[in-house]
Amino acid sequence: MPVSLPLFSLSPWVQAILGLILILNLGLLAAERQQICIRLLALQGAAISFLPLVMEWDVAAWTLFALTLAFLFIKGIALPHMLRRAHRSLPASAPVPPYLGYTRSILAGLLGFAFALWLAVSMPTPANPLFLALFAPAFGTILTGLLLIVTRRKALTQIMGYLVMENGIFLLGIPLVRGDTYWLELTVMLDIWVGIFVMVLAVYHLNRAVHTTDVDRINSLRD
Amino acid sequence: MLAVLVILPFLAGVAAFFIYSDKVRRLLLPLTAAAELALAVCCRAGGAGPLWGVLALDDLGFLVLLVTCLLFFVISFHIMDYLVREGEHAVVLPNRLHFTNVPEAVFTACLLLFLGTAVLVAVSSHLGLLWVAIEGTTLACAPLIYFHRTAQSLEATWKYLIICSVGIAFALLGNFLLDVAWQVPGRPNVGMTMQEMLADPRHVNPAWFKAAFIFIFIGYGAKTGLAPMHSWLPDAHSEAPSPISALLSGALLNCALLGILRLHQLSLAAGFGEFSQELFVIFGLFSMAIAGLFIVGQGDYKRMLAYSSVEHMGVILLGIGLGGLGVRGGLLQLVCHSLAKAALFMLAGNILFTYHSKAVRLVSGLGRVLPWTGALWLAGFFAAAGCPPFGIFTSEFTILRALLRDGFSLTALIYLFSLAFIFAGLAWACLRMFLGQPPASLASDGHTGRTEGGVSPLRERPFSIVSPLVLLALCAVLGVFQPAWFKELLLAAAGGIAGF
Repeated sequence: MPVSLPLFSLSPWVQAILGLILILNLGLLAAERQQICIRLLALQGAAISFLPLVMEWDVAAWTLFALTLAFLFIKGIALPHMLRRAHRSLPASAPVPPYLGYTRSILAGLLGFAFALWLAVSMPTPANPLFLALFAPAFGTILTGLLLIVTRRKALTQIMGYLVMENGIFLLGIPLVRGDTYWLELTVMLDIWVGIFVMVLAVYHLNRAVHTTDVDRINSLRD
Repeated sequence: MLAVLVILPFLAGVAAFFIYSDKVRRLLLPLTAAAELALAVCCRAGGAGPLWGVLALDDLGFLVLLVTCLLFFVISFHIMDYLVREGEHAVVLPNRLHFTNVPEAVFTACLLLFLGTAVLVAVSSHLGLLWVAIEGTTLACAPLIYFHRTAQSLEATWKYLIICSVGIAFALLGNFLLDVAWQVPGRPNVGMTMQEMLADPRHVNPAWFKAAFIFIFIGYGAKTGLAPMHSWLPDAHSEAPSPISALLSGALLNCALLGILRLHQLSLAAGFGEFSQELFVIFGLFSMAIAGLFIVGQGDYKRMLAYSSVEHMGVILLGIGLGGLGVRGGLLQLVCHSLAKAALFMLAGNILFTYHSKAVRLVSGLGRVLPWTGALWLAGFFAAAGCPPFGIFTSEFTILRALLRDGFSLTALIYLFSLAFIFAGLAWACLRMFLGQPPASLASDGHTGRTEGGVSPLRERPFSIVSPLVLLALCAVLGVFQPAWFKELLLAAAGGIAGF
């Protein structure tokens, strides 16, 4: 019996956004320079912010509009701006290739998405079928974020990996919002915002103290 | 009253930013902690009901809340003294590069915000809010760890932030999967509060639940310091100021552990108790074994204490995993570990102030140089190693009884071997530090002149001694006599996760 991927039961707008998110995942894995990573991240954040709108959350129209604006501001503008400022404040350095190399990183990202697709068709159908429809792209994005954290050598790029991972988790949470539970998504995002702020601050001080943000060289603590 | 309990530390934290006087700001710490302790007891006595649909104070939450508030109250006096001493020492340590402390207002505010988020963890009945609060504790602690802004403390903070944040992100993913597991056809709108989820857990989707369990366990487990996700813990505990290490070990780890225990409650209710219990036993034993390997021969006494925390978290998890009697042992271990380890970290701070080194080989003659600290350090070692009359002996013995009663002979053997191994490791370091001749730099001037580094050595001040003394005394009292109300609380808290 052929297995149908629930992804294709979505509206064209949602499919387009999901497709864009997946392409941006590959772009992030391939990007050499941090400025490019920040731009791609801003685009991905903005794309995800529109999903509640096109998926028509069950809330009042003005609430939906305000939430979309809030998500767009945090994910598409504020967080990338914070990263851009941090990048400018750090001394310029030549791009350092990831541990896996760029080609293998992209291949690993594709494998991760294939694994996510396999999981989506293997897991039992939940009561909310929309969740399964978004599962593969969301889990693929989470794995991309993890890959960036594990394979990149610069602290700032690892923060970007964490944000990509969070984008994936946010994507997974979108179909679970019902009624007024959107407060949780908003609170989580504010938490992430503060988290990124603290991380960026730590990187800034780290650079002042040890004159590098290369995680390979930040390894004085060991047994 | 529950609302005041939750909001007060946040308000105090914000106020700390705007108070100009250092003395007044420092006073805010014990005052807020005392108010929180009183409010927690009042909430319990008055039977405060659920609030806003997301807050509720159950037995398990109250146990963690009580430990957190009590610990914060006692440690706050030590912190006040620490901040005074820090002022004296900040200028005269030229060998530490880039040694500019975080502004004291930020430090105090973050401490109070940490208290607020830890209280929120204890009273959250909504799993999403619990996640937000646990993430909040992570963020509030970060500036506390890099208080000294040395290269090492910043490195430790970075590792702490990245590992715990990724772990917490996993836990968030797990929470979403948990929500999916609870939504079954015909019942698609179950809220994420413990009350709603425990109300009808019979039709939970097993595959989604197990996936959720694994993600949440890995996520909160990383923050609890369970091996092999513990790598941030020794770095953060050893590089943070000692009173902060005390709070990290005594309060922060419990917050993440409470997240795991909430999940276990759901697991038992949904009929997956064996699955979670097996995982707990495996990870508990593994944490003990890994901690033992790193404790033996450990050259840094603060790292040694940190690994001892990994061991104790393993013991707690093992006890919970055994169910029944083991759960009571595990929860007693949770309380006593917080008391003993917080005391030991504060004492480690006293030692560090005098010897200016965290190396075991550079600290000797502690009994002569710092008689009170030395005696308490020795007592703390006996407490952490699980010797009578301290409460940790009682809890570890209870877990051993549970193991033998249920016929887990091999597990009991591994458990005993790990404990003996860890005892040997701790004894080697602690006794070596206590005995022997003091270093010439400290012995020659008899505490009246200045050391080789040009720093006036510490005179043992009341606050630097009283706080650890009180905590160790409490730990000893719980080992020999447990008041009736405490026994009842322990039994009631264990009831929800006993697995029967």
